[in-house]
Amino acid sequence: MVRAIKQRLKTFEFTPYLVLGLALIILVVFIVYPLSKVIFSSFIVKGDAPTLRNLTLDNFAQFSTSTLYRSAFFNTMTVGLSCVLFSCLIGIPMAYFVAKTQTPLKTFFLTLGTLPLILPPFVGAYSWILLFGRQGVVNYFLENAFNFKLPDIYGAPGVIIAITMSTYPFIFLLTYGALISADPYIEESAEIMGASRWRVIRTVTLPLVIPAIVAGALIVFMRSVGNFGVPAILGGNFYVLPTLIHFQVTGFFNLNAAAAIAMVNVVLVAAAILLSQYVTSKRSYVTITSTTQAARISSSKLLKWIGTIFCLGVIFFSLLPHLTVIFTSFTEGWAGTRYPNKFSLQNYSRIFEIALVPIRNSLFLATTATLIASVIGTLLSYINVRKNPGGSWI
Amino acid sequence: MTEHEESRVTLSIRNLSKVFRSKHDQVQALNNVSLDIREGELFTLLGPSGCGKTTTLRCVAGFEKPSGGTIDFLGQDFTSIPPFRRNIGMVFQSYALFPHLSIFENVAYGLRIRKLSRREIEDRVNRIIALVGLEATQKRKPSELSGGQQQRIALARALVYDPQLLLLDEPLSNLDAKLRVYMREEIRRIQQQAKVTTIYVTHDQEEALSISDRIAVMHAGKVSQVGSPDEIYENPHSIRVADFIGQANFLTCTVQRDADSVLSFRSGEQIKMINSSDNIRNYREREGILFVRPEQMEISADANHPNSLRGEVKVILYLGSVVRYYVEIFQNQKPQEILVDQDRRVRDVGVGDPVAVLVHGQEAKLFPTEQRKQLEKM
Repeated sequence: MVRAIKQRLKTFEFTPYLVLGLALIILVVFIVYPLSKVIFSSFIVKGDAPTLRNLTLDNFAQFSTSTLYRSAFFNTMTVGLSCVLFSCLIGIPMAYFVAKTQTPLKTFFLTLGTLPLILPPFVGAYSWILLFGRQGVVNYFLENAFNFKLPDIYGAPGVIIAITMSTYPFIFLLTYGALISADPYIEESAEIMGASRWRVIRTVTLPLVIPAIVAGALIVFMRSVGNFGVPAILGGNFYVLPTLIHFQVTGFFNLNAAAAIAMVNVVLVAAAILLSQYVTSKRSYVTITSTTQAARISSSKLLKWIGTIFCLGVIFFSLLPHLTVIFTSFTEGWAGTRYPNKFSLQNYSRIFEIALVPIRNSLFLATTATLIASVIGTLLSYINVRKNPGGSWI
Repeated sequence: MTEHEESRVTLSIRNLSKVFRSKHDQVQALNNVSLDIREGELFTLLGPSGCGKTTTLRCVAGFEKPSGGTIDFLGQDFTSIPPFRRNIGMVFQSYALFPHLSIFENVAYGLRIRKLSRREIEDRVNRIIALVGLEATQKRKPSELSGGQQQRIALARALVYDPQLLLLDEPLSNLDAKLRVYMREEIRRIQQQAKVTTIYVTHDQEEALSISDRIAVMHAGKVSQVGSPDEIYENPHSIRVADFIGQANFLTCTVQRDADSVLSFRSGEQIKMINSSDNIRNYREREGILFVRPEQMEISADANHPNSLRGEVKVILYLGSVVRYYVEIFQNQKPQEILVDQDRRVRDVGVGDPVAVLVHGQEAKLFPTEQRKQLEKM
């Protein structure tokens, strides 16, 4: 009996369980515990002891009583949906022009189209202020030269524009990929049956890329309702849920209320995920075939020119903040004066005086995060695939 | 199909050429192709891949712009009309059904564009789906259908709006062998019932022979020969066509003329062609390449049979309807394998046995020796 147990222990493989145990600990310590604490505290009113008896919905009730809460909720929805809408309005035509027309500079557009993803949106927001703010250069110029006043950048329009300019690449790139990989004969078959170009786009091309558009829209929605930096800078009195959380934490140190708002935000995103899954589950199809023929390109010269102008416009407008950032980095004291008047490399030389610590921090954080994530990720996926110890759902 | 001899020409292709240009080179896909396609016939473009058959079809459809030449349909200049106004039905190799639409909507697509009434659309769709024998599938999506069913829906979709012209681009190449044979008969039946002028593109010569009224054999962007399946098979105008269509034996020989032609082979053997074809009787050159189909030859167990070529049986293949013998003969000390098809097994002949091979002169042909290079290229 004892020998049998010893025998089993000898052949028993501990490694998978060890690694899984490790994963479990990481999961509990870094995800389950803080998350459940947030959830729990969202049901407790500030100042009350965190016990089961004190559980209440008071924090959530704010959404029906407080106008600030209510407007923040609707503002968040407005920002999320508008950003999705405008990202689609920019990204889908751009994807069509690059994938399906003779628009030149395609690699240029594809490369620069991904750039907005790299720059943090709130840096972009600063640039927008620099350009279009109340003291902004463009505004100043237009007012002086043409006596023309642009609408205020602060508030909803500014927030939506700044976020959209950094999220449209999701729609653009995903739609482009779907357009490129779709079977070109499907469009030709519609054409030979008598469909005009516009009808082919409406009844065949667009429906075929809808799953890709929905996937992109979901990312855009999540990014925009979760965005803190842009509304914090450009929002002014325009509160959205993330800035409201910040307001509650720094203003009143009401962590419980902040937790409740965060919960609402999470539910909003979860609802979006469910909705997109519902939409795509009904229409998921792979049209990729063995044909090696590339996507058919429209020979229309008109579309070529419209496409070129459109893409150039979008790229210019979306990279304007980036250009401004680069430009500003070479100026001294701009943003204090009307126009930049002094150029130098002073900012760069100062980097090493003042920014050495931040740079080191950034590099350190990035490196360690990558290292830890890749070690744990590799171990886990190896065990998961090769050993299958049960409980791989984690 | 002699009745088509009198039918009028509907589609006339004249001196069609197409050059594909890229940054680095250019490819002449079509070189002076001229074809006349008659009303109601099933006309096949046959050739190896890259011969220009699909390019020709795509020029007719309007997906490719010809570099030169004209395409004339019943007096209209086709090249100035965009594809969606040509009133053509087309079946693609990948079927290209709309994956997001039901079978009914797939078939109704062309009718909706033509703004027919709801009742008429339903009537027509039902009728054409019944014609291809798939009544039960209307509500399904294309991905729920088998390859053969998708193929028939693609055909129904192309025919439902009564096109003036039907184009089929290798419609059977994605099906398995047995279904391919069944479907080509179906296509023929449906085409005859719809009485629609059809251009059919394939690289499969057996498919082409069985389905077509007429065939154009294409090679390297040019038309090698146009004719009925019988003509193409029995009277090829060049070694290239003879070799591409069906099985063929080619033997180099010297021609002596008496009352009958006597062919001397490299092995020193001689065959006197009795009852030979006009082609052989009128052949005027000294050297030639004898072309004989396997079924125009005969095997004799008597290795010393006069007027024959001696050889040794290497392989015997039982193909059901025929038995194919691979016989090795010696030409110029070099072994050459020839194919002989017999209706049934020849008694007392097995693998390794010496045999005599007899040639039936009525169907044999002589080609000039300079065409030998066509053989080596293929």
